[in-house]
Parts: sequence; structure tokens; C-alpha cells
Amino acid sequence: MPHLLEVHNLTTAFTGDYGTHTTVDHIDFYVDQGEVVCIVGESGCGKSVTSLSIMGLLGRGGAVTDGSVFFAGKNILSMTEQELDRIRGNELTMIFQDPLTSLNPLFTIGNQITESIRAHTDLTRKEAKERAVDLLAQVGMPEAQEAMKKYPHTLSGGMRQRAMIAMALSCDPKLLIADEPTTALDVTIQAQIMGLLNQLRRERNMSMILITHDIGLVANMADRVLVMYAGQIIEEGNADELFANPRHPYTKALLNTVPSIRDSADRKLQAIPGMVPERYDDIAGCRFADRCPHRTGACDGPQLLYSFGKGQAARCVVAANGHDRGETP
Amino acid sequence: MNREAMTPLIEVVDLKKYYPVRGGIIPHTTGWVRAVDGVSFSVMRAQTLGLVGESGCGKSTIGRQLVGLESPTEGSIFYDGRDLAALQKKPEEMRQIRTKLQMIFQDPYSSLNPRKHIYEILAQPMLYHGISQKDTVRRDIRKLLNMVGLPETVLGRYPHEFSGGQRQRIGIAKALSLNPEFIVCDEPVSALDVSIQAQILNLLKELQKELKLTLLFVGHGLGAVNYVSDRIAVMYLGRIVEYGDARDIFVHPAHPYTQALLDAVPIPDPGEKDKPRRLLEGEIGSNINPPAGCRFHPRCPYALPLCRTQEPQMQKIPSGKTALAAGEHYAACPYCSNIKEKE
Repeated sequence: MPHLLEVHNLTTAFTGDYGTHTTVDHIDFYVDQGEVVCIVGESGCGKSVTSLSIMGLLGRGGAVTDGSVFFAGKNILSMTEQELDRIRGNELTMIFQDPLTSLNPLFTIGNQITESIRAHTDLTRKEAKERAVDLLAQVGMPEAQEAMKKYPHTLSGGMRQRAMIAMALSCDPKLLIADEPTTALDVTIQAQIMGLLNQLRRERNMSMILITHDIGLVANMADRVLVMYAGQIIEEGNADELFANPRHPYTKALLNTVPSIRDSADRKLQAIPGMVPERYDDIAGCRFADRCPHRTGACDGPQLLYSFGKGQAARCVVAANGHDRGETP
Repeated sequence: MNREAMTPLIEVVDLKKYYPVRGGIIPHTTGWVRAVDGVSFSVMRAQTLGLVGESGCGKSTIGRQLVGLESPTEGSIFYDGRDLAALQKKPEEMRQIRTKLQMIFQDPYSSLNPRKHIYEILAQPMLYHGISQKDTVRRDIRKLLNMVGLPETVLGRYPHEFSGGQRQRIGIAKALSLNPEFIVCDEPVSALDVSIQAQILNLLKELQKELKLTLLFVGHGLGAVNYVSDRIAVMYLGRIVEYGDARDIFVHPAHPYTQALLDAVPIPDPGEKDKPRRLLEGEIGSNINPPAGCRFHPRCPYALPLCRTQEPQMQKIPSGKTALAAGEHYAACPYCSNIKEKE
């Protein structure tokens, strides 16, 4: 069966006053029907740019310079704006970290959801309105009928995010990209929203790409995980496998650096020395090498994604060699 | 645990902070935001108290009151046995005490003057308070930078030239420069990337041990709070609902709010993906008109009719199975011991 979304060699560059920077560097991945894929990484690693490239929302200065994105068998990078508009917001939708900046402050919630339904279907105004109320009720908005008349600024952060989800789901999308959907929310509200997304996607057999930096959320939601660092995927695999047996030193360090509420008093967090390189597109070898405790001479050359079986792969020559000899670095 | 550790450096008694709400055609005070509404706790010497709760619960306001950035509406704060309110009338003593109470902010960028380079930012307060003299200040600053893990070359640079983690190190150096005894850390790692968070948390822990600092750690990242805290106070709508030994609370939360709060935190282990969780319904209420009785009752799964009318008092919880030496554990819920039995 073909994948729902197939991304090949996706490369995105931004051009500004300081020249051109490649921020996403030859990314390959796929998403199957009904699957949750998490993209995890720190700020500036290119995880959001990846999703904006797929959606064609890069904005000024940004351009996809190489690669292809096949959604339901069609290359969406070669589509015209009109063709893209038929898919975007319809079969392929996105929700963002801050719903206040993605909702129009001058229109009511009801107005905005109804508009997006009417843009993609041929429902009448009245039918669209009924559907909007129904959607708001599905996302757990109290008094959905009343909420239709409210403006975004009168809603709390959690309720705004529910309105955004209602809008995103209005046309029964096949794939939802959620870019840090709960980062701005309190932890009890985050649990509500993630529970809601999980329930809705199961009911609709919808696929989801969840972009986050929260390792806890990844463990909770993901079927498969992509770990990004400095514009590259440095490790990918099934969630269970990746958490149990991380292969790339960065993934290992990332899992060890997160404090948990289950920690005992004597746990010492393992800090990753140094910081994420700001300009990484001219680093020839492994981009993590400067911070890596296992650095060898082999790390100075370009790194490939080495397979470790069971769908797991890591961009680390040291881990790959150790694996061949049956060791872990 | 030695004797010294068991004496409080900071004692807070029935602290309140109300902000007026103004409105009407002729603007007048129409109500009060009860940001902090009757809070008492103490912070032991050389220990860390973690203050947790969701946004709007009043935890940052308490931190700001403790270092004197806000004055209490009611209640008192004792520093080393001395009432800070009474000291307001003695400016000279107050000036000395202020150097002992310092703060580290969430966003160090907005607390560093963008027009001054790091040397000026660090040197000025030290010279003003006479901590250091003109001929020794450079040496003292070098020592500070060494402590927080920054190279000496940063001194001639401006705040915008640094990354978030480095800026937070500068913020910590600034707080340490006046030899404080007590530091309020207001969400010091919330704005940082995970790999940098661990660096800063470890640095804070090391410095605390080395300099015998007393810390109030305000945060909503419960993992980080668990990592640094000896004791914990959980806040909801301006009140403390649970208070006690950190490990005891994290392992055996007594108050229904604390239980729900901990259940909402995603655990970084895919094996716990499908574990049942007690999720809260609804949202945090308003602190202009807080609910009568127990403030948590509209969201509480165990609420009884009495909870709607009677304000619960703090009461001692028999310590959990991990009863520690400092295992004093209190919760403001008359029924939580019953809830425990039911499960």
C-alpha cells in the first residue's frame, strides 16, 4: 500500500541579508494512514520548517530547493496555488502553537469555521453553520451554540486551541500536522487537548504529524519518531524501540537530559555540553560531533542514516560500527 | 540532615496580594484580583522550596513579594526572624538585606540592560553595595564567571550577543554577585531548550551546595521542580493546597488537585502510553470571584456538598510509605485521606 505522505530529499533554504542558509537538509520520511509520527528536536533544528515546507507556507525568503512531497499519490510541490488550495485546509491541515495568531481577531469563531467549511464543500450557509456547531461540540467546547458568536480574544488558551482543532477538522482531513499544539498551555489543559486529539484521530482514522520538543508527549502519542538535529533527521524508529534502544548519541543524551516527576532524589541529570550550532549547513561531517562524547576521526566525513533493523536508523558511523561488532558506544 | 538545615530562613505568614480592577464610566475600583490569598510557609536554610501550580495561581507574585518587588497587601514576611515590613522604615538596614535577597528571572534578556556590556552589568551593583572595590572588582567578576561556567571573553559583549542558556548564566552571575543568602528562581529554565535546561538545573544545584544558598524555585515544569526541590508547595487560585516533602508529594499526592496535576504530566516512557489518568474537567476559575468553599470544588471529581460552602483548612497527612525524616505533609482537603483509602 502506498504511503499517505511521502517526503523525499526535502531541502529548504532561506535567503536573507546574510546569504542563503539551508535549514532543512535532505529529509526523507513517510506517514501511513492512521499513524502518529512525532518530529522531535530543539528550537532551530528545522522541525517547524519541515512542516511549513510540506504545507507550502514558507513565506518570504524561504524556498524548497530540492526534493518532492507526495500526498495521496500527488506531488504537492509541483502544484499551482489553486490546486494546492483544494487540498490544503481540506485533506491536509495544520494547527499551530499559538491559536491567537492564527485566528482572525475581527471575526467570530463561528464565522471562521463556517467560512472554511464553505470554501471546501458546497454546503449552504445554514448547513455549514450546523456542522460548525456540531464540530465545536465534538471538540468539547461548552455551550457550542453560544461559542459560535464569540471572538477569539474572549476565549481562554485551551478553548482557542479547541476552536482551531474544530476548524482544522471541519473537512475531515486525512492528515493533521500539529506544530507544538500545547506548548503555550498549562499541563492540565495540555492533557485535555492531547486526549481530545487522540480520541478524534482514532475515530476518524486520521494520520497525524506531531511536532514537539517535549519528550514526554512523544512517548505518549507517537507510533514512530523522527529526531531532528541541525536540519537533519539523525534518528528514526518505532517509539517503543527508540525509547528502549536509542542509537544516536544525541538521542541518548536527549532522553537522559529530561527530568521526570518519577525521578528519585539522587538522580543526576546528564547535561549535553555546548549548544546547537547556529550555522550548520557548512559543517561537512556529523553536526553533533562537537558535543559528542564518542567522537572519532570517522565523524568528520558526511554521515549516512545507518539501519539498525526494525525500521530504526541513525546518522552515526560510530554507533553503526559498534552495532556491527555487537557493541554499543 | 543537620540541625542548621532545619531552621527556617524565610517565614511567610498569611500573605495576601490583591490588585484592584478598575472599570466603569468614571473609572473606579470595581473589584479585586486575589492573586495571593492567605498563604503561609517557610523555607529552610540551604534547602529548596518548589512552588508549583498553573498560570494565574499566584506563584510568581509570591516570589516577587519575597524579594521586595511587590509589597504585600496583608500578612508578613520574616527574613532570618526579622519582619521585612518593619524594616521598610529603616532604609539603611533594608539596603543591606536587599543584597541578601536576589532573583533569577524566566527571561534573562528582559532583565539585562541592552545598552550595557556584561562587565558593567555585573560590576555596578557590586561597587554600589560595597561588595567589591574598584581595584578588586575585575578579579571578583572573574571568579563569578568561573562559577557559572562562562569564559572571561564575555565581559566586553552585550546581552543580545548571547544564546538563551548563556544569558541565563549571566542572570545567575548577576544574582550571585551580591553574596545573597536567598534566591527566588522564577521559571529559570522554562524558556530554554531541553539540552540547556539540564545544564542550568545542574548549575543551580551545584551552586546551592557550594554556597549554602536557600532557594525558592517557582515553576510549572514539574519534572524540573522535582529535580531541584526538597519541599514543595502546590498552589491553586491564590492558595496553597498541599505542602510537604517533595518526594512524598510526588509519590503520594494527597490533594485531588495535586493528583490530577501529576497525572497530567506526560511520562517519557512509551510503556505508560495507555495508563489510566485522572483528567481534570474545565479550567482554572477566576481569582476575582473565586469559588466559595474549596476553590477547587468545581473541578474536583470527589467534591461533596460541604466542599461548596466550607473553606478547607490545612491538615496533617500521615506520611506515605516513603516517610522521610522531614516527611511533614499537609493538604487542604478534609476528605483526601478517605479518597486514598477508596483506591
